[in-house]
Amino acid sequence: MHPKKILLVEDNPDDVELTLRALRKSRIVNEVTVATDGEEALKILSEGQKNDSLPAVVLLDLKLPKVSGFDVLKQVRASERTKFLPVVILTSSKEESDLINGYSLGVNSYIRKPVDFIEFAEVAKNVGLYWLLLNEVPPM
Amino acid sequence: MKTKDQLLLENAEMVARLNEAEETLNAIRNGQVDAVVVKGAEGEHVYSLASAETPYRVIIEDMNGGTATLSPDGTILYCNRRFAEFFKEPTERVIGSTFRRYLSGEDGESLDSLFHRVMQYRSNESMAVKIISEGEALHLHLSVCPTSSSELGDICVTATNISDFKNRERELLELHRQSEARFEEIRSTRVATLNMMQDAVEARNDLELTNRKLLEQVAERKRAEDALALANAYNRSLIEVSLDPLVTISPDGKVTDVNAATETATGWSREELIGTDFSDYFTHPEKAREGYEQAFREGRVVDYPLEIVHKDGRITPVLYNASVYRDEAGKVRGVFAAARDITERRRVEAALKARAYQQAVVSELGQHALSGTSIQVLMDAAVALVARTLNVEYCKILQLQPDGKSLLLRTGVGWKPGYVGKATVPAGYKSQSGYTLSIHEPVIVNDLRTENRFHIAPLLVDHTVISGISVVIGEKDRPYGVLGADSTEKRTFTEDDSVFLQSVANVLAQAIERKRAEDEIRKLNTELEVRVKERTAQLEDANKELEAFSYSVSHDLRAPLRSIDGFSMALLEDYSPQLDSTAKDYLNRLRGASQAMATLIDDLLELSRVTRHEIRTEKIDLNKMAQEIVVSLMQTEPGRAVEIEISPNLDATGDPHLVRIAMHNLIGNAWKFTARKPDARIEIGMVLENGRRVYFIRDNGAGFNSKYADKLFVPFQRLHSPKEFPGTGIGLATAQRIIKRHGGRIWAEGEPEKGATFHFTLQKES
Repeated sequence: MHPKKILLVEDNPDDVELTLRALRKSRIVNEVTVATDGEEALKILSEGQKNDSLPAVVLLDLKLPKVSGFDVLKQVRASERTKFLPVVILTSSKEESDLINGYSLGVNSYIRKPVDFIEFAEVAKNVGLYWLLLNEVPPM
Repeated sequence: MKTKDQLLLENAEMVARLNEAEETLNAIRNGQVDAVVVKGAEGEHVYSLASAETPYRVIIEDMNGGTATLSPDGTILYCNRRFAEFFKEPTERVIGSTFRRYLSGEDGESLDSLFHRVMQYRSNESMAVKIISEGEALHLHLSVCPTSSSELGDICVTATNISDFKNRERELLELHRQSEARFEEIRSTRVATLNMMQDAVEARNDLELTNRKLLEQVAERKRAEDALALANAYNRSLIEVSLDPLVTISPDGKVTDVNAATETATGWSREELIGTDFSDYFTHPEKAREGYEQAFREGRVVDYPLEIVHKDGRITPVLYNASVYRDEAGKVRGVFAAARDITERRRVEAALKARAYQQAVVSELGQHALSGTSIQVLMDAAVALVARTLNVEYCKILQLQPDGKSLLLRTGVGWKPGYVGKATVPAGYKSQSGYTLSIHEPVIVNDLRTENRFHIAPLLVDHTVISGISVVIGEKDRPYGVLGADSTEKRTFTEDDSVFLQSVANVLAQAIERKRAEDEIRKLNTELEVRVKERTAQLEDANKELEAFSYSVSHDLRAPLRSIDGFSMALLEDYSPQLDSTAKDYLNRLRGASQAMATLIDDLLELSRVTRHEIRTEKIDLNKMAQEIVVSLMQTEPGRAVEIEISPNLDATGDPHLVRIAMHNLIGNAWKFTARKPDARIEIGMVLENGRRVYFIRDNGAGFNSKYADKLFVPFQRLHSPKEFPGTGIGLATAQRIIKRHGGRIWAEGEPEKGATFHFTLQKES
């Protein structure tokens, strides 16, 4: 069994560093692939033919260069291969429109990044635990 | 007293006898008679003509009457015995004296002038005189005539004693009888007697007297008749000058008399009218007949309407008042009927009716105009109504063209095809309409053929218009045009017609003016709508920008804060041994500040969202909402002991999302500012003020100084230091904005260290 991977789609290097640190702090040692824009994220997801190569969860920021987070989500859901892929929106925004858009497009969870790192670390830990250990995925 | 006829008869007989007597005398003179027998007091004398001269003297001497000849100065040249006897003097004494001597002064003068007249005009005169002889008064009738030859004197006087006229009259009658017999005698014997002559002369004198009296009587009667005639003439003239046709009608319906007014009304002369059937002169003869029959039957008829037909066909409407008149015996002789010409009354009535109708038309048109009909429809209605009301073939509305040089036939009735909408007439004095505009007054044309105030435009010539009337539509400074009515018959338009037409024009002018104003308003409205749309678009753009800005803020402003906080935390965790307590304190301050700023950003975003949020009102249970908020607050600070009282019935109407934010801010404030109170108490309730629901949140916390009450709701304004009570100073501003967006009002009361009360309403104040 391949260890479950995490795909982090985040353009801000600080946020990337802080997210990785938070995951580390939470003793989540799974492989984390980082895509710094939407285009890259979609490229990573389309690579490889086996289900095994897909991450266990995608942590998706909304404001991204080139292809936005929503567009990434849309394409993920549109693809037969990735339509059941768990996607968690991890963003600074708690705008109502963003929430509605996200859930409309079939996001699995919507999490606002707290400014307080202690809280952020807690969030990262919970997300990791939930999506990597507790959540069951449908057979592909 | 003898009747006039008797007297006239007598008179005629006497004249006849006198004539016979004179014939006899002439016969004697001419020698046709052989002898005359004169009956005297001393018996009968027979005079033959052979000794004519002597016998004349004898005749005279034997005459019963006195006779004398006088010189022009009145000296008695000769008199007979009888004459002298009047004066009771011998003949010799009388002869040679003057007549005047025997007369009173007055009679003398009269006699002198009488003599004078006789001499001058050689006329026969007579007078009555009174003489006094030996104390006895004697009345004499003098018959004076000039003599045929002056041989015996110039004046001949015959005097008759008329002292006892009645006796004399009897004598006269007797004489008549005698002379009658004697005339028979004379006729049969063809012999005249001197006596007879003498009697005849006397008879003539008497006859003259009688005749005179008779004439006086006749004269008197004549005067009475004249007076009567005068009175009749007076009455007649009254009747004749009457303007009312007057007529008398016999029981069989014939006209018996008429006055001049009847002649005028019928066109027939009096002579033609009298004797004809009264009823023949009316439009409805049977009705006329009924009228006078009613008068005969009932004695009178009042205000009986009939129409007199004039010879030329003209009809005069009249009201008849008739009553019967009777003769002295009380028998009904006829009906006297007076007609009152009510043509003028009818004309006035018709004019009033016409005016009322015209006013009704104007009113109808005004109503039409008010109903918001289009100007074209209104104009079409107006020309049709005017043509019908004024009874003309043509009616038109001419619109002054923008260049002011001509008027266009905009709308009309009666005009030949191809004219309306196309034909124009020149402005100024080159057309009636132009002229009307120029003088800005109604123009009435009785006959275009003799018109010289302006030229006649082809439009009117083409339609053989003779008479017309035109008025201006609109005010002088900016007239719309002209309203005109035209007739091919010669017409005399009245002042009423002119007023009517002007009224119609005024209605049109008002409608046109209103239309202009409406168009202007519509234009302004359209412009305004365009501007509103532009502004709305601008606002929408601004809103979008704001949304984009807020989005960026929520994303991008928070990211650096997270970095500050996160790396500060990383330093504290990873490099703790190398950091002294001051460095750690600084890093903690960095973290605190970044977290405070994150809160600030969130609050600002909320304020911005509140402003942009579309309000959807519904029923809200504020009691439930408040409880939920309190529960959430208790969860954040489980250790706090606060007494909370929430009124049970707190129904409200508003946007639940926004009202929850406001309530959260207000209750949160109360929660926050009672933190230092051991007996913290928060009361949430509602009171009715003037029927309005006023909600309140009361606490016994830190309170505030009332003079700063206004500052409470200004963003970022804080009355406490962050050390005392944390906060961004945006919560109350957000609450106020929510309340205001609901149309409500929020205000606060407070006292330092005693507490604060926030009141708000959620309805617009009426």
